[in-house]
Order: sequence, then C-alpha cells, then structure tokens
Amino acid sequence: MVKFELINISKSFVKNDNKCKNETLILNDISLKINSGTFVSILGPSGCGKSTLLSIMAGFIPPSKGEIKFNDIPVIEPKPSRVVIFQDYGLFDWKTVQGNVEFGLKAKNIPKLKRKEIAQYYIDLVHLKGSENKYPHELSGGMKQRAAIARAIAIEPECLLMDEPFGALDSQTRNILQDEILEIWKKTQNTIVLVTHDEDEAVFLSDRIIVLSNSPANVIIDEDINLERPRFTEIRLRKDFIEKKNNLWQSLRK
Amino acid sequence: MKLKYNYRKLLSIIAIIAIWELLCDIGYINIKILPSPYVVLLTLYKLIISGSILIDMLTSLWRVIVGFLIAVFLGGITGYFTATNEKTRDFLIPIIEILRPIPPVAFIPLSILWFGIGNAPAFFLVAFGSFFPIYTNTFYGIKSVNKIHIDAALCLGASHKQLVFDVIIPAAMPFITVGLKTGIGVAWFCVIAAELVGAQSGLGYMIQLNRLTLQSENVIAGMVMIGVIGFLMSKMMVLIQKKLVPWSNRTL
Repeated sequence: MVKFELINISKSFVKNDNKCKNETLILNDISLKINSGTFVSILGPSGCGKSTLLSIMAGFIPPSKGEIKFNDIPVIEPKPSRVVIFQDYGLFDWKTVQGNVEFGLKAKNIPKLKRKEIAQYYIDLVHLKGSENKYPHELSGGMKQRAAIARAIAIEPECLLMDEPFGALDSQTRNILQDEILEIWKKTQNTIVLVTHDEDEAVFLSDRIIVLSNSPANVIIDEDINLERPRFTEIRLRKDFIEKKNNLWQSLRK
Repeated sequence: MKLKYNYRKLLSIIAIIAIWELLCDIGYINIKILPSPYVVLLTLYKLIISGSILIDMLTSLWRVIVGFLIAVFLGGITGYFTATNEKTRDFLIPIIEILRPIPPVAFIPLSILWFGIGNAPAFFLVAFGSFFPIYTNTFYGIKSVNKIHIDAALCLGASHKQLVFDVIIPAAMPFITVGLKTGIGVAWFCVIAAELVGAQSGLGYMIQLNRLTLQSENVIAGMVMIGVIGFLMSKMMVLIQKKLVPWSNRTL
C-alpha cells in the first residue's frame, strides 16, 4: 500500500535582495512513492534541500509545484498521523518529560489518568524511566531525543518523519539510538522517512535509500537495501555493508 | 566566604548610619531638617505601633495592586495581539509609541483633572506607567517563540487553544516575567508620585503632609517604609517568576 505519493514536486524560495527578486530553485521535479511500513532514508549533501522536502511532507510548507498525497489525501497542513522528529528535538522547555509526552495525548482529548498511563508506557519504552519529572534543560542530548521520540510515538502516528534526528549527538549515543529506533519500529510497524547526510546511518537503518543531488535537488539514486533484519551493529563490519556505504559515499561526492 | 561577603556589605551601611548619628549628636547637622537615625527609628516604631503608617501602607498597596492588575491585563492582551496580528500591530503601535516617551508623572495634572483626588488618579497613573514594560516584554516574548515549537505542536495535533495556552504563552513567559518585575517597580514609583499631589491618603501623601508640618523625622520614617515595601515587592516578584518559569535555570 502506498503511504506517501509525491508527484512532480518543485520548491523555490524567493529572496528579495536590492529590489531585484531572486528565485532559487531548491527541489526540482521530485516524484516518489513510499510504501506503508517501510523505513526510507533520504540522503543528500548538506544544504541540498532534503529538510525542505521533509517539511513539505509534514505539511509545514506547501510545494511551489506538484502534488503530495498521504493515504491518497492531499497534504495541506500538519497532521498527527505524521509526526516530525527534529534534529534540535523541539521539546517544550516549559514541560517536564511527562508533560511533553502527554502533549499529543491531550490534543487527542484522552482523559488525564489514561494519558499518564500511556505516557508512562512510552517513557519506559525509550528508557527514560526515572526522568519523567525532569525538564529538557536537565537532560543530555541523547535523552532529549529519546523524550522527543516518546512524545511522537505516544500518539501512534502512521508515519514518523525524522529530520537528521541523531545529527547533534556523539557517535556512541547515535549508534545506541539507531539500535533503539529499529527496536521501536519493529514494535510500531509504522512508516519512517529519515533525512540524513550520513550514509552509514542510512544503510544501517533503511529498507530503501533515496539519494538527492545538490541543489536543485533531484533523485539520482533510488535503491533497496536488502540486508536481512534484525540488524545489529556488527553488520557494519560486513563486506556488503561497507560496499553499499562506499557506493553511496562516492555518489554523494560527485 | 559568603558570610564574610555579607558582613562586608552590612559594614558600609552601618558606617554610614554611624557617621550620620555622630554628625547629628555633635550638632554638625541641623536636626530640624535631618533628624538622627535613632530618632527616625523611634518615630517609625511609634508610627507602626499607632497603626497610622500601616493604614497608609495598605492604601498605597491597594492602589498599586489595582493599577498593576489593570496594566497586566491590558499590557498582556495588547502585547499578544500586536505580536500575532499584523493589522492590530499597525493600528496600535503608533499610539503606543506616541504615549511611551511621556513620563507617567507628566500625567499627574491631567489625571487629577479627569479623576479628582483619591484612588482613581493613582489607579490610572500606576496602570499607565506599568503598562509599557509589561506590554513590551509580552510583545517580544511572543515574537521570540521558536518556530520549531509551533511546528512540533501542530504536528502533534494541537488545537488553537492548546497552541496558545500550552505553547505560545509559556514559551513567552521568561520575557513576560521580566516585564512584570520591571512593571511592579514602575508601579510603586507611580503610586508614590501620584499620592504626593493627587491624594489625601497613602505613603506619598503622608510624607508630603509631614513636610508641610516640618516633621522631617516622619518624612524620613515614611521614606524608609517606602523603601522597605519596594524592596519586598521586587523580592516577591522573583518568587513569582520562579513559580511561573520553574523550567528556567536562569535568574533574570
């Protein structure tokens, strides 16, 4: 079943410098279909517009041209069926971990006691037990992203849109969270679209990798990753893994 | 280390008071216009015991509270709508910017003309004076709300009400509390100024009346009281700030 359908998506931004209108094309005619339940990575050099593409998929910004559908319905605004996980976490600084996780549940009008129970389940799931009453500024980067993940999956979205979610973390924490996101995905079975510039991360996590060229971005590679699951960190040492990674590395630097 | 530091701070105050007392005792200062600290303290004690200064204090406090709450209401609403709505902003900001540079005390003559003598002109002046810091900080607080928080809230399915009360207002709260803190200081300043000429009660009136009857010890006792209350109010605002912004580890 097709979850996301992008048809000839283009996006340009208008800049006004010195009275002359400057239109910059960011995304150039991108068409994609993303199947339900798959883990898809969008890989591209920094600044190529992959985050812009994710913002369009989330419904934060409209495309300049083209059409985008989620479950066959046009995307016009953000919806809790596709939750975004941001690189900078986007946690509400004025709420505790518990309060953050309950936010989306409150929006769904779930009664207070039930809300607490659900939040507790997801806080445990991301291994944040004991930090429920901490404020974001009291958490490390890894813990913040765990809280953001718990907040997102607590409302049981059909799709998670992740915008370089582990980009601000040290490599050890990143690897741990990559393992955990696969664990979580196995339980939730939802569709995940991950934007990243890290080919190792993309190969390790994905069923399918879409590589964008430098701006204006266009799809240059669209390939399936047929490594078996479950994947553990040792897979990174395998020849086929390294080969895939190197191929992507080279295509990114063309 | 800390004890030593506090002790040093106290030392300068003790030294000033000691010199003041000494200069009065040896007759270097005319005690008709500057009574000795001992006399001031004794007067303050008598005024408290008799209760008269407490009534003046409560009168002034009541005026500050009413005026300040009006300012919080109007400043908050105006700040919110000018920050979120461009039409409101274009309509209201010119008026605010014309009124802002006029010191509140310049409104004393008009406020007496409009409202007579008593509580009303004081309410007006307090509200007018403390409106600006509250308005400005609310405006910038709401302007500075991070877009990522709005986006996060929207994709989590937040309703408009939840977006306003659970995201925008709490996100702006560190700024708003700064406005409240500045506002309460201005409010206290305004109420005393208003009472000097436009009232027949309150601490401002009390020190003015005692000047006319040449009881300078009462004037200074009243000033000490004004200082103490002002100090306590700003301390209280720090507590309120901690209550409203428990998640911030910054002390502003």
